[in-house]
Amino acid sequence: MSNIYSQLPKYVTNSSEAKKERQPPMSETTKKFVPDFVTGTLEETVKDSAKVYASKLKDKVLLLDNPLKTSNEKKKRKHSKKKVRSMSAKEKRETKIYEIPNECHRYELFIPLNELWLQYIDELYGTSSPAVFAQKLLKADFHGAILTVSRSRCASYIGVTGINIHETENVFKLITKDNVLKVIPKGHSVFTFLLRDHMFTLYGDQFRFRSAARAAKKFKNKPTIDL
Amino acid sequence: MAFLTEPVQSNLYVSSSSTASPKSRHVQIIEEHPINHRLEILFPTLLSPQQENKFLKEAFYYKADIPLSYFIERSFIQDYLQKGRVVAQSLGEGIDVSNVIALDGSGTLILNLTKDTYEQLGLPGKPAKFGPDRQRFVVQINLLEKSMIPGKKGFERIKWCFDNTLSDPFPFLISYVDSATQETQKITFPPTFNAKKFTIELNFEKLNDIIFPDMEVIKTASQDDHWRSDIVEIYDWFGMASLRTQRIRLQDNVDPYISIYTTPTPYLSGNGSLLCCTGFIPSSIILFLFKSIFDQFSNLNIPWVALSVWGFKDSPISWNKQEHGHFMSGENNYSFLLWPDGTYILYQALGAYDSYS
Repeated sequence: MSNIYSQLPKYVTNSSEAKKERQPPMSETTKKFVPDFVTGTLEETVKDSAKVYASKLKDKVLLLDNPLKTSNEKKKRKHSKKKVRSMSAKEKRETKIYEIPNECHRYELFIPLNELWLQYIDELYGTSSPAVFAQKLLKADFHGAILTVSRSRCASYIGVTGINIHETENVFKLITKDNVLKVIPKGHSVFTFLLRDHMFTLYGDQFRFRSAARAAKKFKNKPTIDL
Repeated sequence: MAFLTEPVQSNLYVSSSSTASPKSRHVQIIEEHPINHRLEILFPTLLSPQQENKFLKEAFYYKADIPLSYFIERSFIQDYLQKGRVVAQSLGEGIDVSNVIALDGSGTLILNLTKDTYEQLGLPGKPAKFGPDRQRFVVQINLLEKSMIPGKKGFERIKWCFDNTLSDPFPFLISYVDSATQETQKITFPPTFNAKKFTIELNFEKLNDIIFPDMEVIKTASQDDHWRSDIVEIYDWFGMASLRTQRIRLQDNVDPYISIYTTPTPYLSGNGSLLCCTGFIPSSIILFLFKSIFDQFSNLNIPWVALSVWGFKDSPISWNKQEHGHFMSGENNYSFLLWPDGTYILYQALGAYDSYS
């Protein structure tokens, strides 16, 4: 069972990248001196000085000085900042970075994603009432949710159920139990999902934003329900 | 459409032919109009009980709460649809406001649905031809197609839809006519359907001392306006007769302030008989009566007979799966005026919302 707080997988910790990570610099004398010094000074005021040291100070680095950066270094920084840029939409299309290859259209591959989502949404739900939760849902992430198309202007979308593996501004991509990737436009469709014995309904027409934009958006009440 | 800019047009189609003619459509007209509510036959003479007996035929229909999944069951298709004509029509609210479902005699299930239901059903259909744009949808399913067997993709989809999205039972009128015997036959329903059997009763009524227009005037069809106005006047008179109004009585003397109706001239006077029945009438009964009229012409010694049939106003089809709506009147009626030599004049009256022509 995967968990948000679980350990990194072994292949990550064993990878060459991870081995390159440097430990914070520390001289041998400091290592010996600091614990004794700190516990010694704390003993006068606190009972479990060793415990406080272990929880608050051990393995933590505090920079006591703030050295000025040379102009050369500054330049380098600025330069490197400029270099970081995201891909253009055209590049994304050309490299097919968001496309899921055909051999990965398998329902069981995405069950862990759904389990993750259930944990996430359960935490979001907390102890709130369904009405309050509905407000939270507007800004929630739906990658991994099991969505069902309950109404649609197009008859053949109706009844499609699957794990949502990709949400864009205008479509949900669902992977169904028979391992087919279905791309369902949000417009003119209504989606439902079941959570804690409550049926929640998403009106696709009102949901046409990228998930990132939706999280920051302020929603207004709109009465339209006609597809 | 708050106000109508123009009056809506109902249509009356008149055609003339003879049963002897190979091109005659009379059988087709009767059989392709499956959903019939009322039937009247007007004889311009008094029938004796023996003569009346020649027209008697037993028929019945059922009223039952049927879920749509029943119609696609293999046993229903094999036992009834493939062996004869099953006609059904859902009751309840009218076709302009609610869902209407019908089964025409040739194995096609017709669902005339509101937009709301259509968007939840999951079967592809076409927008209805009448009414506000894209507010109603028509789904037609041919139940006799070879692909309607369990396991096929299309069938499973229909089954899923009828089990999940449109699973509520509808109150239906349903009748089954065996194609070998042309008689209405029993349908066995599961007990949960609350099926009730109704018998179609043929009643005879007497019309004493009434005025008959002379039908010979319109017997030969022509294009001139005179014939056209005569034919409409006589159709009016059929309507008056089926209302059993006092206006066509011989001794009628009404104040013109109330009615200025006059019987078309020239006219004769005499007694008439009216054979009528109401219910869910299978076309085979109408066809049987149509044929027995011709068998009895020599016996009865009468110049003509008029046979009128009224369709259900809220039926989703009129003739031959053509779409039908209600709007102002929803009429889909037809009348035959028959002469002993086989000549007939056929009136077909249709409301504004009908795609048959």
